[in-house]
Amino acid sequence: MKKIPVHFRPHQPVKYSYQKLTICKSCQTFTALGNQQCPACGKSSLVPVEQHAASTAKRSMHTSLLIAVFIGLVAIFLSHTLLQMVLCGAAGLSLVTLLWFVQRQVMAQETNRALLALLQQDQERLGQDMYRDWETAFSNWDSDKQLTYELLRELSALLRNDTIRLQQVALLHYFVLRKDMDLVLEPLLITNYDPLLADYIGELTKIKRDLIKDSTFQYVLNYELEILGLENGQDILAGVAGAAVRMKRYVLSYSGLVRRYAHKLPKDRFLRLYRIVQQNPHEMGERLTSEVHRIYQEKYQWDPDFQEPSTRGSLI
Amino acid sequence: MLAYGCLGILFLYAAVRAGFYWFRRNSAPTQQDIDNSLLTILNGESER
Ligand SMILES: [Zn+2]
Repeated sequence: MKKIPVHFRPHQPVKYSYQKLTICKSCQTFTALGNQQCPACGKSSLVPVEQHAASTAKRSMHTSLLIAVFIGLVAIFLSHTLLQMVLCGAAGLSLVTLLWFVQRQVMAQETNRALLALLQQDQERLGQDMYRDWETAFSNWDSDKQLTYELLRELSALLRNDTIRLQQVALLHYFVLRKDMDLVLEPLLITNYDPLLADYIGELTKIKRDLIKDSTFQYVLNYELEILGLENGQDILAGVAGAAVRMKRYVLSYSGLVRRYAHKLPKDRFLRLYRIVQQNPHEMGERLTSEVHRIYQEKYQWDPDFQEPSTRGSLI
Repeated sequence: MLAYGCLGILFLYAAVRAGFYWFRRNSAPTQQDIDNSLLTILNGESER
């Protein structure tokens, strides 16, 4: 299969999943695909749900404020003397200002309340709208794989299931992956074993090893036998072991994995492991230490790089 | 007299509304609550 060179459009990660969600002001349809037009009515009236909730909260507050202003005006209208008018005007203005001030203080909380109500009022529809988005994204699979991936990436902030994760992994398999790409790994880890995911992990060990963290090490350990069954399984596992030698903590936590694939590590990764073991001789455990020494004796005993003391930091 | 009556009503109205906002601000959902709620609506309890 010939891989496709791609340049992903910039992706905005969000802290809260609802920040990906927009709603049509006209027909109340939800969407998360970042489109300009409403997928249901076609109008350009999509706004972020937070903005919609803020408008709802503001509208309700304005109504309260208008009622207060109205009562104040009635008081002025019913005044008999100028003094009464001035008194009613001043008192009314103070009370309206006080109410406005309190409203301003609680604006964020009232917006949150309105947002939760908006999301909860029609849950079935919200679910249907998100699954319609998913279908829309998927419908581009044959014609535009990059677009499909980008849309699924947006949706995966909201839809958290293994199917959408696997679809993204499967799409990534079609692309030429590069160091400068905005790639992720942990959000794509699934519960079960999948060879495409194992392969993706293997690719990342070559170009973005900093993405390999605890949950990936755990995944690889859980499915080590299955990965070994792959044609390039040993290389994938060696790549993961090579990623573990980034940090002393990883070497300590996954010493078994590192030990089993230490003989397959390229020179720079093995050198790093060798130095970690040398600097922490009592912490690394006997089996790992002896395996590292065995490989050193076998392959690198006369290598000048192994003779110089390390001048590098603890994280590579 | 009617004007002062209205002013009294305005005072009560503003006090009740302001008190209403002020006391329920503590029970308002946080952004994290909204996020959790949305993810539960879309994915059920198991997937977060
Ligand atoms: Zn619409």
